[in-house]
Amino acid sequence: MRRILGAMASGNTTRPTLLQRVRDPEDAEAWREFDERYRLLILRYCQRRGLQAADAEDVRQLVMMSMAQSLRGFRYAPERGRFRAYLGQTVRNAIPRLQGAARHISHNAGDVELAATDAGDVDAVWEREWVQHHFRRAMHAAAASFEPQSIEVFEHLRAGESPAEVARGFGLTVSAVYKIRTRIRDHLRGTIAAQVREEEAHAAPTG
Amino acid sequence: MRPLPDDSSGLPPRPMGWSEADDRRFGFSGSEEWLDHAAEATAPQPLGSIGDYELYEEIGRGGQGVVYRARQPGVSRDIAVKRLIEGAFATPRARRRFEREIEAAASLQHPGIVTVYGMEIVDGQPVLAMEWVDGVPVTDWARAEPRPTSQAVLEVFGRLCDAVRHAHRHGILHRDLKPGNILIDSDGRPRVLDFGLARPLADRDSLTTSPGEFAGTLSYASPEQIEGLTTLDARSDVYSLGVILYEMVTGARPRQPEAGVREFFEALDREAFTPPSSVRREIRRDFDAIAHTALARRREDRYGSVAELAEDVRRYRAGHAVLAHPPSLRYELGKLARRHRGVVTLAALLLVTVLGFAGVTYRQATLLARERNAEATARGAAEDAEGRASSEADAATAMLNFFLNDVLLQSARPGQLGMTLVESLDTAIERVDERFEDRPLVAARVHRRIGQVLRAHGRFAAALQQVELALTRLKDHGIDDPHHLGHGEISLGVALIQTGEPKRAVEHLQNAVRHFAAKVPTDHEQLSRAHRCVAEAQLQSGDHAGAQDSFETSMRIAREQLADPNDAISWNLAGIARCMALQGDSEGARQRTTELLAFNREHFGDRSENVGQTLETLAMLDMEFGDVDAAIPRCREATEILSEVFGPDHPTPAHTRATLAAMLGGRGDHDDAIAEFEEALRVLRDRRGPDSPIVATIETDLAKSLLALDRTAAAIQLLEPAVRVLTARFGEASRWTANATSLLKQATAASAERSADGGD
Repeated sequence: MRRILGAMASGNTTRPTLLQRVRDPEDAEAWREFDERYRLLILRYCQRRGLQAADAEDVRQLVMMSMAQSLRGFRYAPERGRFRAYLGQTVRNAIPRLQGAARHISHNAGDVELAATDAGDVDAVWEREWVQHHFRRAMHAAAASFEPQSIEVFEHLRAGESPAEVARGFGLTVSAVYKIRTRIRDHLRGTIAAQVREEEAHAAPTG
Repeated sequence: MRPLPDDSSGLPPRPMGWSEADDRRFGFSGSEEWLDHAAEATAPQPLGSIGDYELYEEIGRGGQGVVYRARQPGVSRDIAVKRLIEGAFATPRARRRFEREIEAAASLQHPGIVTVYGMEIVDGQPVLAMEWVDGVPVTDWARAEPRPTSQAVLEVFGRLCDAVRHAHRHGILHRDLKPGNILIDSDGRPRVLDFGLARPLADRDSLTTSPGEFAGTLSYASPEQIEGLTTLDARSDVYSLGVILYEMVTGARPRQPEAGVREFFEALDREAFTPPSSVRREIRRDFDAIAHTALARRREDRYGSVAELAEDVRRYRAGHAVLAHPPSLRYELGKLARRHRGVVTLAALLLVTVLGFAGVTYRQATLLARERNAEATARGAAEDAEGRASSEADAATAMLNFFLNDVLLQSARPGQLGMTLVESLDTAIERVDERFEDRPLVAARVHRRIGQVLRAHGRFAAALQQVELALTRLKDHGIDDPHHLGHGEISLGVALIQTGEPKRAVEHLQNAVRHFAAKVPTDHEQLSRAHRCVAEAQLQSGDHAGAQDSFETSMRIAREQLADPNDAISWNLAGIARCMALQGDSEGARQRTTELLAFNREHFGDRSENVGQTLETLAMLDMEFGDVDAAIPRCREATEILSEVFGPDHPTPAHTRATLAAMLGGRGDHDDAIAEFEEALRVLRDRRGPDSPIVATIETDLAKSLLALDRTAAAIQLLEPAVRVLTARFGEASRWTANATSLLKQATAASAERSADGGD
């Protein structure tokens, strides 16, 4: 099933995906994009795990170097799992590899209870960050597709205001606000689905 | 694969490949969870701290570092903290550079430059603390409503220039001037960040620059920066300021790589952009000229300094005529004065970077400088030198790049280590014509220089090939500049002397004399040298009287015209003495040479090349008088001195050693003679090749000593190939061939006699 979807996804698009492009060592631009796309995901995951900004930066750097090797070389074996899992594993592996990282952990691990040895919890943290990573990308795309006012309305909703409050603030009807919310939700859902598809297309066996 | 109908919460059909589990994971299954995800995705996260600094937010990220807004405990104001982006993975070199740059940046104190507080090492990483400026990028400020008047914009730009000038005066370039690095603070003052902290673009191989940022950087980078030139100067910052000025005034950048990188470079090459006066009505045409001069593709055509740019902007504001000219006029006027600087900088660079090549080119640059300064001569002459100085600088840059990239760097590549300079030069030779296909003058000079280097290493045949190519290149392209032709002919003539073709050498060297004599103003040093080279060639070809005349002419020019004639006098006196000796006036020659020895000891020192050469000459003259006991110690001293000067593997001391060996053999000291011959041959066989007639004559002399010691087999082994080489080169009748042939007969007879004896 996944193989078929992967083939369809790549058949649907004439442009090679970013994850295909980074396999080309000549494509420096692809690496810049790769870094830009996944930077926050990695940094925020590290911070959730209690790393200081500087240590998180070092993890990011290490992950990038490691990904550069595994994606370009033969060591990346798609059957080992989806890209999401692979990247998560690489990040998790990078953390203890950094000397001195341990002493900074747990200073500010306030909102997430961490048990570094408990793989289940750790995976949950990664899952959540990965979901938010896709929301960030999708919202970025949405900003270009909607009227600025619709985006502003959404920002207020996102900040926790009720549709009624927002409607008052913008001089709209409540149902108009709901409509905007639904349209943006559906847009985000569609965009995220496409993003995930692109990621998974890459993870399909290449043979 | 038909999309499944949605079963809940009014969601549209599921997108392709999207499952119910996916909807649950992303919070789309009926609840408001997706909105929470959306909110949390961009919620700020605590960043923790770096050392003492509590971090609040990431405010910037460039090729080199990440900048955070931060605070120190007990201090109420914000500061900015910058950390190397590679962090723990930064190479020691990158770290050292970062530290050095911080130190330089910290030394700048100017109201327009953001204050650097200092550097700290936190967990082994350098961290930079600087003033926090709450401001907006300068171009955002210029665009903001109500829009500042163009007068106000130009005033702010003038203050920006002041800040950049201040740094330039302290020898610090910014190298990354862009709106993100120039903030307008709450008092409306421009503040420049990150002075001297930018990395050269060529260094940006890390994975950390985002595409948008890269394009942004490209817009403001000078063309020479984009090309990866590392010797940037103030004019690179002038260009960046030009882009910023253009953008402040018109609201757009002159060229935008986002629209297509290829189009960007084409526009760059054509120097094409929309004239600011056609974008904003109150802008006068004069301003277009300022933009053109600041944004010129070639830095030679730009303002030479930020001060010049600022001054022109000030003149424009005051309504005075600006100094910038439209491009068409610019070429006609030529910014000659500015070009001086290029030569000087280049000369300095050459001096410290590239060994021998540098020395030669530097010398040319200084000669040119001297030529320019002797402006008391005709004005036209000075302008000629001017023009050449600029093309000289260009050509020297091209040559330098070639020697750096194709020769020096080649020898330093992995797998090539241990390659000598000459070996990598050999591999580079093939690329010269291809590399400089469209620049015959540079190609010719590179060939000639390579020829000189090969000659200095005693590789005469290869050297000859290079200097011939050099001259061919010039003539093929119809270049008739006497300076270039003169040098080309001299190099070829000298190479021909060294490969044993003195008659052809005479022709080419006489051409050189003609070229240098035709040159205005006369280059007396080269003219004197050309005459001396003619004399050498005449001497070698047997025209002793002509040679003496030429030496005399050369010496006269040197005495009358040169500021420092000692070198020329010394060489010419030696030549004259040799001519006298060869014409039979041994007494006169010996007297001259004794005088010369004293002159050389005084002017060049006891262990100098000149003294070594003179001692050898004197030793040979001693031999003329049969004074072998005087000759041998002199010749030995000459060999020692020349070995010191040239090194033991150089052909020059090897020749002197062969002379010494022949003298020892002549005195009957055959064991000593054989040892010296063998040492001389070790070098000369290697340097001149086995088929060299000179090697063959020395081998003949060695065979004579071997025969004297009854080592006939060894003698025959040497003589057989020597006879072959000498016959092929000089014919059977020449005295060298005859000498070797008669020795070979003698040796063969002795050998036959011995085997007959042994047979009894």
